[in-house]
Amino acid sequence: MVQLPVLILQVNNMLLEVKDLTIEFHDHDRPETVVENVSFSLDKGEILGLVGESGSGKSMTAMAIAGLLPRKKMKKSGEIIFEEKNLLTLPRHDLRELQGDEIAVIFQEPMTALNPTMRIGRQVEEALLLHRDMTAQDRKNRAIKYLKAVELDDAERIYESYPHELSGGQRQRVMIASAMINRPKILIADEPTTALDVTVQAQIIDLLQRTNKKLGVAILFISHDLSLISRITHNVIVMQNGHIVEKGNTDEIFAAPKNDYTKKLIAAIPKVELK
Amino acid sequence: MNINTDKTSYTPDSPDILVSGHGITVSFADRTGKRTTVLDGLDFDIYKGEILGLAGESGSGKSTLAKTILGMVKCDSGELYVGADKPQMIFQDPYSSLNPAKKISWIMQEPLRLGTDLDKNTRKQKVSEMLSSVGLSDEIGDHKPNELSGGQRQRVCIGTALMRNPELLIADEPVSALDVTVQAQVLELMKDLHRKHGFTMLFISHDLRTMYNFCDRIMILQKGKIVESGKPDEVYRNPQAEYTKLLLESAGITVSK
Amino acid sequence: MLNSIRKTFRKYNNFFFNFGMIITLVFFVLAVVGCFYTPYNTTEMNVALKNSAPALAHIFGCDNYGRDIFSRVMEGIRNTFFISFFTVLIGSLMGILIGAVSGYYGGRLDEILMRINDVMFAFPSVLLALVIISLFGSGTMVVTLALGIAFIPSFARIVRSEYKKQASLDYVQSAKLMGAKDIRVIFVHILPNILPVLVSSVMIGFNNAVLAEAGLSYLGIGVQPPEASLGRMLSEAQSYLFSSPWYALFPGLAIVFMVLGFSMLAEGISSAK
Repeated sequence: MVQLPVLILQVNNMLLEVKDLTIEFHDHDRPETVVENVSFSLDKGEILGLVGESGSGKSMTAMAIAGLLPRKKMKKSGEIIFEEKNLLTLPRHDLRELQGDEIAVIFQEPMTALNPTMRIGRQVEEALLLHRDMTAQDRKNRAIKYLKAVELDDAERIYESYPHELSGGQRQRVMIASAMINRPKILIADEPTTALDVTVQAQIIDLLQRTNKKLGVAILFISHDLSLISRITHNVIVMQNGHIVEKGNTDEIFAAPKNDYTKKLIAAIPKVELK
Repeated sequence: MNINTDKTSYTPDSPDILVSGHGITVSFADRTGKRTTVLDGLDFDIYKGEILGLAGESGSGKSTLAKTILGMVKCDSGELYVGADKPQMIFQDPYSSLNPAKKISWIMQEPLRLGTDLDKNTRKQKVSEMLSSVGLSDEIGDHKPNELSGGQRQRVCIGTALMRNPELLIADEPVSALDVTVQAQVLELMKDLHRKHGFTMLFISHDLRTMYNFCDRIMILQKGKIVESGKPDEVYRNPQAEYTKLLLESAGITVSK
Repeated sequence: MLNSIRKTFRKYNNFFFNFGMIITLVFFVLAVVGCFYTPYNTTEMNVALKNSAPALAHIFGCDNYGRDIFSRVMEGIRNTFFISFFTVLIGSLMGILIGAVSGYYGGRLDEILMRINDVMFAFPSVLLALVIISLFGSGTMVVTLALGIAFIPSFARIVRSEYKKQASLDYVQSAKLMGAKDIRVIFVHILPNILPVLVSSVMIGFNNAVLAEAGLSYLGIGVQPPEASLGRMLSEAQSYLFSSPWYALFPGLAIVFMVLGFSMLAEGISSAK
C-alpha cells in the first residue's frame, strides 16, 4: 500500500463538489429545467453565498444537496460528491444517515419549520436520537449546551417550551441549535433571516458567522439579499434562470463584477453614501 | 376632514401641513379583553408634497398608523387632521391586493366608476394612459392578475391608486415582496410619478437602505413611539436614539471616516 | 365570445366533466321533453298490461295498474329535476345572502346568524322539511319550499367561510379605499372569487336535493299521486320486487344516474384549474 502524501490531503480542502448538476421537473406536460449544468465546490470552513432572484434555481440546488428533493416527477443528473459518495444516487437509507448528521439545513420560516405540538427540547434532540446512541440525560445536557451556545438566555426554560411561546428570532436560534447539535460538516441556510426583523437578522447573521469560526462548519448561505451576502460570505455564486452566471471571491466580485446580471444585481442595492 | 377624534375640530397651524396628529393613541383588545397599546401618543405632521419615510420593525405600529390615517382604525384619544380626500394605499403583497377574478382594465377603471361620471370609453382611455405612465403596455389591461409578475402587479396597484389623482398616497412596504432588481425599478417609478404628480407620500418600510435615497424625511417608530425624525442624511450621520443606532448598524450602514 | 366559450370548454376538458355533462344533458332533455310529451299518458291504466315485462311497445314495462313505466319515469325525472332545481335555487340564494353578510361583517351579527344556522343544521334536512310540510300540507310547491329552506344552512356555512377568507385580503381593503360601498364589495368584488366553490357546492346540493325529494316521495309526502315521482314509484315497486323487478329497477337507475351525473360534473369542475 502506498501512503497518500500528506501534502495533497492538506491542499485538498474540498468538502463537497457539485458537478454538472441538472434538475428537471416532469410534473407538467412539458419538462421544465430549473437548474442546468451547475458546478461548484464547497471547502471546509467556508461560507459560500448562493445568490439569485426567484426562479434562479438557488433553492433547488440547495435542496438537491440536502437530499430534500422529491424522487418522483423530477429528473436529476450530474453528481454531488460528499465524502466520496454521490448524494444524487445514494440509496434513501444512506441519505437519511447523512441528513441531520453531516449535512444540516435551516429554513426561511422559523414559524413553520418547528413542529408546533412538540416541546423545543424534543425537537433539538431529534438529530441525536436518530444518529447517536446516547442516554436521555446526555441528550438533554447536550441540547441545553447547544441552546446556550446559540445565546438563548434561560436555555432550561426554552428546552421545556413550545414553539409558539418563542419569538421569531428565538425560533431561528433554536433551529440553528438543532442543526448544529450533531456537529455537521455542512450547514445549508436557505434565506435564514428573510422572515426576521432587521435587528434580529443582524444577530442571527452574527451568530452564524461565529458558529462558522468556532466549529469550522461550512455554510452554504442562500439569499436574495446582496448586501447581506457581501458582508458575510467568503465566496459567492450568482445564479440566474438555473445557470451560474458568475462565481468567485466575494470581495472581488463586488468590487469588479464581470457579468451583466451581477452588475445589475449589485446596482440594485440601495446605496447609502453619507455626505 | 377630521376623523374620529374625541375632541372637536382640529386644524394645524401651517397651511403646508396635509396630515397632522396630536397625541394619537390606539390600542387593541385581545380575546381576554386585555388592551395592548399599539400607538402611544404620537405627534407628527406630514407636509404637502413630501415623501415621509416611516421606519420600524414588526410590532412598532407603523401599519397601524397608516390605517389610522386612512380611517380604518379608530383612535382611543388624540387629534388627527387629514387634509386629503380619499387617500389611497399600496399594499405590501401584490398577490393579494388585486382582485383575482377581474381583468386589470376592470380593476383600474373601478376608482373612476366609483368616483366620477366618466363614460366607458373615457375610462378606458384613462386606464390606457395610466398603464403607459406606470410603464406597462396596453394589452396588460386584458389580463387577469395571475398572469402577471409581481413587479407588473405592483405597477398596476400604483396605477390604480393614482387613477383619481389622490393628494396622499400611503405605501406599506411596497417593494419588500419583490425581487431585488424589480425593487429598484418599482422605486424608480414611484419616484418619477411623485415628481410628475406631486402627491404626498407616506412610505412605510423596514429597509433603511432604501429609505435613504427615497425619502425627504424619515420617522423612526419603536413600540408605538416616535424615537427619532429628521432628514435621512442627518439622522443616518448623527443618530440620536439608541434604537436608531441599532437599526443602522444592523443594516450595515456606518459612517465611514 | 365564441373564443371564450371554447376557452372555458378547454379548461374543463376532463373525463369527469365530459361524462357528467353527457349524463346531465340526457336527463335535462328528458325532463324538458317530459313537460310536453310522454310516449303514453302517464295516468292511463290498462288492465291487460298489468305488470307486463319490458317489450318494444313499453320499453321499461308496465306497473301494477298497467301504466307505461317509461312515461312515468320521464314524468318522475321531470318532477325531481325541477323540484331539485328550485330547492337548490332557494337554498343557495338565501345561503349566499346570509353567508355573505355573516362572513363579511363578522362580529355580533355573524355570531347570531351562525348560531341560528347551527340550530337548523342540527336537524337532518329531511326532518326539517318534514316539519315544514306537516305545518303547511304537502304538494309540489310546499315540498320545494320546505327542502329549499332546509338547504339554506349548508350553503350559508360554506359561503360564510369563503367570505371570511376573502374579506381579509388586501384587494377588499383596496376596493373600500376606492370608495366602493359594502353591497358592491360583497357582490361585485368578492362574489366572483367564490364562484368556483359555490358551483361545486351547488352540484352537490343538487344531488342531496334529488335524494331528499325521492326520500320524501317514498314516504308518501312529496309529489302526490296520480302524478308520477321516482321515490313513490320505488315505494310502490317494493311489493312487486320479485314478480316484476323492472318496476323498481328503472326508477332506481334514474335516481342513481342523475346523482352520478351531477357528482361527476362537480368533480370535473373542481379538478379543473
